[in-house]
Amino acid sequence: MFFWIFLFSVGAGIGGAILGLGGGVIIVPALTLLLNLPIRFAIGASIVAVIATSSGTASAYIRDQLTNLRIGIALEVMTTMGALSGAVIAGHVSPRWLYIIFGLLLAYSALALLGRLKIELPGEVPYDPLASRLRFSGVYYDQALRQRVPYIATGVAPAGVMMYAAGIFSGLLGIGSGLFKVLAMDIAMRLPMKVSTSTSNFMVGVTAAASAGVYFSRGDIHPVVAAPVALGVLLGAWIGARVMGQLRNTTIRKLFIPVLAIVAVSMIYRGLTVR
Amino acid sequence: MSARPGPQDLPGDLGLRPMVSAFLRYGVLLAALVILIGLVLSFIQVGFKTFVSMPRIRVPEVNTDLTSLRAVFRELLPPVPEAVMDAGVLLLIATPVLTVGAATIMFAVEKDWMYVAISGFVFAVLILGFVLGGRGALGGS
Repeated sequence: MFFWIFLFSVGAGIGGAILGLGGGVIIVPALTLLLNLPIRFAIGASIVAVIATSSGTASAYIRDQLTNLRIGIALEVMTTMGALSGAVIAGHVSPRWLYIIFGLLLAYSALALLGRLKIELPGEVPYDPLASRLRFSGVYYDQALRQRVPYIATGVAPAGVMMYAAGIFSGLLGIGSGLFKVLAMDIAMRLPMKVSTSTSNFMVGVTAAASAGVYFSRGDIHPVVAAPVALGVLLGAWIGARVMGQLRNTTIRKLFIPVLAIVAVSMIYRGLTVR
Repeated sequence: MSARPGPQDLPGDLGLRPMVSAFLRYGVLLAALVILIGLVLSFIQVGFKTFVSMPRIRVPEVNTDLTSLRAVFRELLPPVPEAVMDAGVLLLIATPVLTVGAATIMFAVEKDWMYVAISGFVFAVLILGFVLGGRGALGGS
């Protein structure tokens, strides 16, 4: 039992580190369906897992300049405001439609990403005055391509709207903000995939930390579950961060699309079956 | 060995990023170490068999009463294993918040005032979230 929690957590940490997700997508079903733990402890553990993935990778990604701190922190403003809006409208909207809308948006994004499957680097992107005003640009050394990659963002306004939506959804449903963040940075801002996933990694930890206090005081973060999850995810994230640098952007995208599709289908299913 | 192109070839505007990165690394290592000590302590207390099957036996029935900072710290001396694990988890939860704080300082050193304002705002919201969300946690019994 203990061993299994640890093992699942290592897997969630590796996956989360590479794809820019918190790993809750793996942790919650593994703990509830396979190990029969109560859902509240699973969600509490997933909050810890998200923070562990984020903090476990942040050090390496910030050092290698994969994480763009400016982009991450500026977009975090939109996500935070979205999460606040989500908390305000909670109880006034039916979860059924939220799940269905969220699922359809993800399914659509999966299709949109299929068209971008072959794109290794974004190349020239349309000039966005907002991106240049906010200095949303950077350069990183790509270990797979063995070259320096300078990049500049475009489409900051639509990305901001998507980040706001990500905040609303994660505030209401407690999930999926990592997926949405990567999508906003990849599809709207057209950043290199590695920059998108590692910046998302940094952001999901900040978002999760904002709500961790609530979960902790409610007693949802149980030390006996959270401790092995934290250690396992930290180990996984440490491995994942080392693997990710070596991967090609196209490989990361290929790994990302199936995860997106599975989550989309399960969201729509939950929307159709929820009472 | 010939000079291999690497991150050292990036322009020298790293600023305080290596410091923020190192700060994070040690924070996470400290948290992991504390959690590990908690696990080892509970291993010593309850023995291998109970330890391995522990979540199955205890979690569904028993709720944790360690829901406040005060409760966690009260149980640290003499060390109660679960309180030690919780202290480590709390350290881990604090790292992203501290990273945003460190980034704010970094932008201030770089005299990037627009970003001092932006990350200062995010930091303030995080602290507010902790104070409001964790009001019970901070004021606990």
